[in-house]
Amino acid sequence: MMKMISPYNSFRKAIKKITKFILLCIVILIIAFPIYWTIATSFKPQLEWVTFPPMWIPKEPTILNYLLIIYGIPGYRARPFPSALPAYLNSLIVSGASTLLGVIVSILAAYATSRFKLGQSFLISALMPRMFPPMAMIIPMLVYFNVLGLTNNYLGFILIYTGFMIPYSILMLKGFMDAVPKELIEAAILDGLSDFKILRKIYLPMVKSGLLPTALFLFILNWTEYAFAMSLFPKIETVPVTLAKLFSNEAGMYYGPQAALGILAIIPPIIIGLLIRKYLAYGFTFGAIKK
Amino acid sequence: MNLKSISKVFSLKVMLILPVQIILFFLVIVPTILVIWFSITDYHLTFGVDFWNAKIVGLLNFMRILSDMDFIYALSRTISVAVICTAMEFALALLLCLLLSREFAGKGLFYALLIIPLMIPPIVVANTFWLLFTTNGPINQIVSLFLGTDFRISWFSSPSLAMIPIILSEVWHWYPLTFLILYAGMTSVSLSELRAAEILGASDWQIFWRIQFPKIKQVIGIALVIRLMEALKVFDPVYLLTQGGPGTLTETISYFLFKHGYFYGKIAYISAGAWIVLFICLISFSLAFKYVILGGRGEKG
Repeated sequence: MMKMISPYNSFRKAIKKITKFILLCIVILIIAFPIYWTIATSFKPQLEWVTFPPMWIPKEPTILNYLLIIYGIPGYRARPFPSALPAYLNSLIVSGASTLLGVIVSILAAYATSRFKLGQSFLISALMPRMFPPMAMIIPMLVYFNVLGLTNNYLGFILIYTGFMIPYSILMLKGFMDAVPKELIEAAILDGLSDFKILRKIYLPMVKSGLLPTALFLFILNWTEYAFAMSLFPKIETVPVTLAKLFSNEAGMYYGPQAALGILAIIPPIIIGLLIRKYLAYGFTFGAIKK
Repeated sequence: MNLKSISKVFSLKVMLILPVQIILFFLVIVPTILVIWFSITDYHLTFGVDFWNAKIVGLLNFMRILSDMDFIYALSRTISVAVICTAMEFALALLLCLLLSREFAGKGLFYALLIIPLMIPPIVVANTFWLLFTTNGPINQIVSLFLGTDFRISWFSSPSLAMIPIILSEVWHWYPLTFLILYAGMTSVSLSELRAAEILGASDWQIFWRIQFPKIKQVIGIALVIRLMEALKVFDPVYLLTQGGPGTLTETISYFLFKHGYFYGKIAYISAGAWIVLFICLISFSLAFKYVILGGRGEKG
C-alpha cells in the first residue's frame, strides 16, 4: 500500500461518503414524492384537494375517499360512480386464470427448449408478441374476436393475457431448467424413465423454487395491463380500466377517490414485487440477467 | 438411437410446444394475416360489409398513410421519445448504481424503495402524474414557491410542454428496470477486485469505468434493447394525460393507431400503418434478440 492513511485522507473520505449519502437521499425523496403525494391526496377531505400553498400533510385525514371507492360515489356533483369491488374481482379472475394457464403452458415449452435444444427460431417466435406495440394488433383482433364471439368474454381475455405474457415466463423457466444437471437426466434415461416422467420426477422438483417467482411475475404483468383490457374487453372491467374510467368521466372532480383507487390498485403488485425482487431483473430481461 | 425413438422424441417435442404454437397462431399469425388483408382493402367498420367481402384497392392505403404527416410525425415522435426516455433512465440508473456501490446500513430498504415504480400499473402512474402536473397540482405550486409569484401553467394543453409530463412519467415508471439490470451486473463483479483497485487509490468513477463497465457492457446492451422495445409501446400516459393533444402534438404511434382504428373505425387505413410498424419492430427486435440477448446467454443457445 503506497498511500499514507493520514487524518486528512480519512476526513476527505468521510466527507465523500456523507455527500454521496445526502445525494442519494435527495434522489430518493424526489422519486418517492409522486407516491407520497398520491397517498396524501387519498386521505384528504375534499376541501384540501386543491389549496394554495399546497397541503403537504392532510390536516384532517379521512378515509372517506376509500369508502367512496368501495361503496361507490353518489352523483351529487356529477354522474354517480359504482363500487370498484367488482373490478377487483374481475382483475383477480382474469389475472389468476391467465397466470395459471401461462405457467402450465410455459413449463411444457420451457422443458421442450431446455431439454431438446429446439434452437433459437422457436424462442424468437415465442418472443414475438412482446416485440411490437399491442395497438398494431388490437384492431384486427377486435374484428375477428367479434366474429368468434370472444370480445367481452373471459375465455378470450385469459387467452390474450396468457399469449402476450408467456414470452417472459418461458424464458424465465428455461433459465431455471437449464441449471438441472445433465448427469441426473442421463441417469434417469438409463433407468428407463419416459420423457414426461423426467419432467415430472426430475425437472419439476428441481425448479420448484423458481415456479412461484415466475407465476407471481406473470401475475404482476397481468394485473397491470391496460391497453388490451380497455379496447377488447370493455365490459369485463379490470382495476386499471375502472381507474381510467373514473379519471376520464370526471377529470378534475375526484382527486381524492382517484388517488385512493390508485393506492388500492398498486398494493397487490407492490407486495408481490417486493417478495420476488431478487427475480425481477431476471424476469424483465427474459432470463438473460441471472438472479 | 433407432428410428422409433426418434419419432417418439419428435412427437413429444411437438406436443410440448403445441400449446404455445396454438396461442401464437391466434395472437400473432392470424392478426398479421388480417392486417395484411385489411391493408389492401377499403374495409371500414361503418360500411356494414363483412371484412372478407371488402373491396381490394391495392397499395392505396400505404400511399395515403405514408403521405399522412400525422403518421410520420407520430412514428418519429415515438422513436425520439423512446430514445430520450431510455437515455434518461440509463443516466438515472447509473447514478443510483454509483451512489449505492458501497455497503451501508439500510441499503436494502433504499433498494426496495427504488424499484417500487416498476410494479405500479402504467395507468396508475399516469394518474399519479396527472395529480402532480394538473393546473393546481403540486408541481405548479412548487414552481410558484420558488418564483415567489403565482405560476399556473396547464401542462397538458401547452404545445411545447405537454410532452414533458409524459416523458417524466415514463422515466419514473421504467428507470427501475435499467437500475435492476445494471445493479445486477455491477454486483456480479468480484469484491476483491474492487478492493484492490480502491487500495491503489482509484476513484469511484475510475473503478466503474475501468473495471465494472467492461464486464457489464453486454448487460447494458440487454437493458437498452429491452427498454427501447417497451418504450416504443408507450400508450397509457398519452391516453390518460393528453389524449394526443393539444392537436396531435403528443400522439405516439400506439395512440395514432388507436385513435384512427378504434374511434374512427378506419380499419383498412390503420392496417397499412400497423403493417409498417409490425414490420419494423419484428425485424429489428428479432435481430436484436438473436445477437444481443439470446446470443449473450453464453455457451448454450
